[in-house]
Amino acid sequence: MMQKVWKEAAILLVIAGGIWYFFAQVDIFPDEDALQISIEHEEVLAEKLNEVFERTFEPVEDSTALQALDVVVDRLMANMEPTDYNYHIHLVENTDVNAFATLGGNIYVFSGLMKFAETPEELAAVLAHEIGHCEERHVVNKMATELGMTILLSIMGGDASLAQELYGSIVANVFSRNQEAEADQFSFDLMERSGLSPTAMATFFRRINRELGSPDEKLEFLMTHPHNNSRIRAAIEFELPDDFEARSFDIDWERAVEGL
Amino acid sequence: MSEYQLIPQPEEIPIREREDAMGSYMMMFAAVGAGLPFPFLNLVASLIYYYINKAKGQFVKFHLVQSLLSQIPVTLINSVAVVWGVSLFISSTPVSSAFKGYLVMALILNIAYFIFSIVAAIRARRGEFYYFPVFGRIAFHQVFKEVESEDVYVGPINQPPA
Repeated sequence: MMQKVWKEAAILLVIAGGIWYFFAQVDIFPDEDALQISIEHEEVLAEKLNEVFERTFEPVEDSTALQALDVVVDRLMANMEPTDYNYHIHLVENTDVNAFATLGGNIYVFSGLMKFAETPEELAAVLAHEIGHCEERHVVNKMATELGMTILLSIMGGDASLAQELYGSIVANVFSRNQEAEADQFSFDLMERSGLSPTAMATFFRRINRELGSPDEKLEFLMTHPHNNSRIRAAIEFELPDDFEARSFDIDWERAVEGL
Repeated sequence: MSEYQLIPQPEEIPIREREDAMGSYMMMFAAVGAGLPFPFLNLVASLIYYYINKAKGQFVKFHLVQSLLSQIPVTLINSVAVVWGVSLFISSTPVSSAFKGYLVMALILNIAYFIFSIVAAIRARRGEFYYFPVFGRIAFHQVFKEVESEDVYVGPINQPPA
């Protein structure tokens, strides 16, 4: 009798495990992202948006800063998995500590952020996070949700005033908690592949908390952004392989940001 | 000699016992609604029902044990789903495909469990046995196994006055 019990239990376990495995492989609840705008359409939209951003922001012309940025970007790009995007990182004049991804792989970095970063690794952490938003298609999905496809199609058709409407939404850089966590996870993986420790993200956020103030941690539950402290924890807790060796950038950072 | 005691046939089982046996499955339905966010509630309700009714004969006890035992893995699976889901939410971790797969597995098992319970409740009301995979055998073994008495007969205790 008990032998049959074990046999039946084993069959049930195999069935349950099989169902679990099967449905973990077949994503039957795709993230909202799936309705989607094609990469080609996204690039058309990106062009319209870039026109707005070019009118709004002055590009940084300091060649030392631009060269340093290129070194950081090149390291990340060399370690990216194949991507649909052709990334353009724009360094623009603005004293705010901010960076945001727009469409079609365009990422805007404020000179204030580059200056606030104390090491190139910290800048790499922020860039990797923004690349994560692009790769996960958060920006384009957010727009599709907020504005609807009709408006996006009008912008593609050349309605410049609508492109201006998108500007505020993009610079505000607000994503859901899940999306922020996804972008963080992406950035930790990319940093690891690039020989950079994700702790740079933790250092950066700690300084933001210290110098720019951090909202009350208890409010995090109500906020869309995971609080900086959660992100610091996630960066510190990210498990690096035993044989991981950090390769620091060969950049004189103080000199690089001097002219900003 | 058989390892197990004789099984009562439907005509030997009074209506009252049939209803109590059916109740062990209905208890689960009543409690599961309230217990969904706290999956252990239905297990607690079933435990109470078990202790109240376990002395009402082997037929009732079999269904009580089967219902109770089969709820343990379902409760554990649902608890894991709740704890996993809440921890993902609190830590803002993206929902993984492993979690989505687990939810579907839990849903399918719960549906299967509901169907088995409904069938068992109907059969119990008719005075019949219905064996769940695994738990049917364990419950049967628990309730109907022959117990060899260790008492040694020492003669009648009450005697006429000497």
